[in-house]
Amino acid sequence: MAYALAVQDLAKYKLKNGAILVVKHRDDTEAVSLQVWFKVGSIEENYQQKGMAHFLEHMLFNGSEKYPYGEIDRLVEGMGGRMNAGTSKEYTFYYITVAKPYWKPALEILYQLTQKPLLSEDMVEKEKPIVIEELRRGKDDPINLLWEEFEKLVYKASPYRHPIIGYEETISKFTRESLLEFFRNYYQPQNMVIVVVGDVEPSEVKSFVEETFGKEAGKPVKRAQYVPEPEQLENRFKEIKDKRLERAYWIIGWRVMPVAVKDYYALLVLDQILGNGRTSLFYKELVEKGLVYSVSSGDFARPRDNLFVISASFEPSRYKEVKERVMQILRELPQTLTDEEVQKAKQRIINSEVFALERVQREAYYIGYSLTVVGLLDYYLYFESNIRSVRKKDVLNVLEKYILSKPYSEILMVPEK
Amino acid sequence: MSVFLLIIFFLFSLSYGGAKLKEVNLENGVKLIIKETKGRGIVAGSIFIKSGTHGEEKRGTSNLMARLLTKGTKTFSSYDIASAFEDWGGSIEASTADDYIYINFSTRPEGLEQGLRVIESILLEPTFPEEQLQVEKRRVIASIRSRREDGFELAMERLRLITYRGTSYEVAPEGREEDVEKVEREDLIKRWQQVLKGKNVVVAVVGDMPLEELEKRFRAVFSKLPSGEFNLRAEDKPIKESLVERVQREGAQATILCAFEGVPLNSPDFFALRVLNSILGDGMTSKLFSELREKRGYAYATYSMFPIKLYSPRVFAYIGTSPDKKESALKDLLWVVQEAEITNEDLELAKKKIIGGYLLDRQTRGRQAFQLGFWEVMGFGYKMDQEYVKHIENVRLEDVLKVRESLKKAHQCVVVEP
Repeated sequence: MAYALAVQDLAKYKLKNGAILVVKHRDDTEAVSLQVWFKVGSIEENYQQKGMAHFLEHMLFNGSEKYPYGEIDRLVEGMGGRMNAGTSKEYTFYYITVAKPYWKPALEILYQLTQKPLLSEDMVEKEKPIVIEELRRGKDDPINLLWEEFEKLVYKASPYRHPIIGYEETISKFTRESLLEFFRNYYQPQNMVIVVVGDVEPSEVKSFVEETFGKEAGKPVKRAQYVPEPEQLENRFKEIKDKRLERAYWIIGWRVMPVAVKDYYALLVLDQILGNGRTSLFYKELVEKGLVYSVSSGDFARPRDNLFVISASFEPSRYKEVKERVMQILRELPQTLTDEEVQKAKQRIINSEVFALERVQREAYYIGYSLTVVGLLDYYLYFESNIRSVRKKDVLNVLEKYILSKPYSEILMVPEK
Repeated sequence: MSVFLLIIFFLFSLSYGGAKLKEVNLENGVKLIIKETKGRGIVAGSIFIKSGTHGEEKRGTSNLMARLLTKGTKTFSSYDIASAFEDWGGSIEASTADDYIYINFSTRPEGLEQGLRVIESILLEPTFPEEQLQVEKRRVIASIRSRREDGFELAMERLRLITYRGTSYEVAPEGREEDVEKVEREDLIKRWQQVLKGKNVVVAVVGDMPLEELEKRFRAVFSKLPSGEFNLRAEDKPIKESLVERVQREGAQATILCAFEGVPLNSPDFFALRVLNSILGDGMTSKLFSELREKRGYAYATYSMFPIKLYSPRVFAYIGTSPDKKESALKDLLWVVQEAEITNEDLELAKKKIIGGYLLDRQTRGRQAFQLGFWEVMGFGYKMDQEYVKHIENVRLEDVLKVRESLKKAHQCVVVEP
């Protein structure tokens, strides 16, 4: 039996086959965002499969039962819509944003795309050089390399240490059979969340979804055994030299709590105070005082082995000074932070949500992420009240518990002249 | 008229219906364009000053000036300026493009009063603090250098020098390192006095507030701007002959970027070229994508662009490919742009792509304001925001084939290779 939960114009249904559908009705926009999420990303892959979640995402655009190769692109663009997909370490999602009269055909396309792909042998071969070019394009970008190296430094056991795109040697060995096996396990109703945000009637969407996605048989997903990252006991440092660089790039990071647990919201407030926008401490103390060219902070919002990082770019000769100043700001925060600053930071986070949600695709993404990665719609539903409940002592507790008292990992990339 | 277009016109009329959009011409020459929307409480705006880098005595001056606008005034510190907007979840930023300087801002209706106090101070009493100028100069120089870390940016820097040689576009608004070193505080003050003239200023505001209220508040601030006009000198540089320049850079990929002659903004063929650009290089059904990525597997990314600039119109085509495929990729890219067959089906699809994308791009008030002001400052008039769809729809296949002749005349390419 399907059941529905209605909060804030939001309807959540669980279909008979296990698929979850969420419809958020909004009448302030003419655009509709349709997204289909699967709980599968690169952390599910064994070594031979490295890059497969991402490769499969490419393959789904290469023809389905109803639409031959190329037809879907023509149909979506013919509606004036925008279609794309993304693969992360935890999830893969497919989306179309379209004017509201077209939501049904767009959803039909997403159904064919994600449930009825042909995955033909010749298309697998066609796609390999394209994905390998994408991989090389990433290697061509020093900043992309820097982040890959950083995760390799932090994670020694967890599958987070591998890049999403995989490796040339694994990609070149993919076959139709290996892809089909992966597809059949992960691309099915029990691993799927469908999200629709826009000026649409939830019951109408539900009927349509039942006639399409609802017809597929669901079965339990065989999940890869996740190898958790052991506790980090020592500070780690790695320096890389790159001939293409013109300035130094630096990342320093700490292992922190998973996304959406109780003290996670205090981390978000801490992040806002430290590194978000021109009113942040780092901007005032590092950018405006000429120590760095840019600086930012943030966490990866991961459900396991999450990370909080600070990254900056500066003249290579200033590395020691920058690091010392960053550490000093962190160490002094317990003495300098006021209740008013915490209050302001919370207000900024809450207000900026209003701007972020102006775009339907942003709101749909938020819902999809909550259900697929966090595993709880509550992350989206109660975000504001969770931020409101953060107190100054929570922020300082998080700072002490996860950052000041813990080892860190840092990577420095400098020009090689 | 197709069903598709009927629907799109209907959706546009929803956001433009009745008295929700208003134009106000102030005595000092400033044009206000105000639009009332309904939503969760957001006001966003774009202030354009037609100028950009035109007529700069020292390159990079306008860019530094714009960056410093939000870094301190007689009344407000850099922190106060940011805080007035960020406290409400919004933001303020000022920057320089080739043809205009702009200040984008967003806030909640409750924050507008303070926001406007800050904006007035930014416009009328900026201090361009010396200390911040030194910091920003170092940041700009670092940013100029770091652009070379990226193959595409490096190719664009070299291609600008070739295709816009001798005009203000030949260097990006940031200027060159040696130019930036020379800019002094006095230059910023002088430049600001030179360009802040009523007739050059367009302000577009879109917000969840009554139209009259928005008009009253913005009129009060913008009436205080000096009148007069800063004139731009026309500087068209046609592409005379084909050339390919090669640049060495370490890396895993080769980057190919080519420029082709476009048509001016006031040309009757302008909209046909918008459509042609979309046929050639926008999205997964485009010619470049289907011929170079899907059929030949040269690349992950390939596309074309037709940036709207006042002078020296250009279409650019890009592909990033393996070093061993670069020669054939270059040859085939030129073939796609200049020769590949274009059908009626391609035409209809491209039109829908442009129109649909145009509509979807207008979801945020910030984008709506920017686009309204952009059309006005580039000389089309803000009403083009509504008329654009019709102009695109009216383009026929023969128009596209005719305007393509312009791309066939010559090409200028830069190949960045390891």
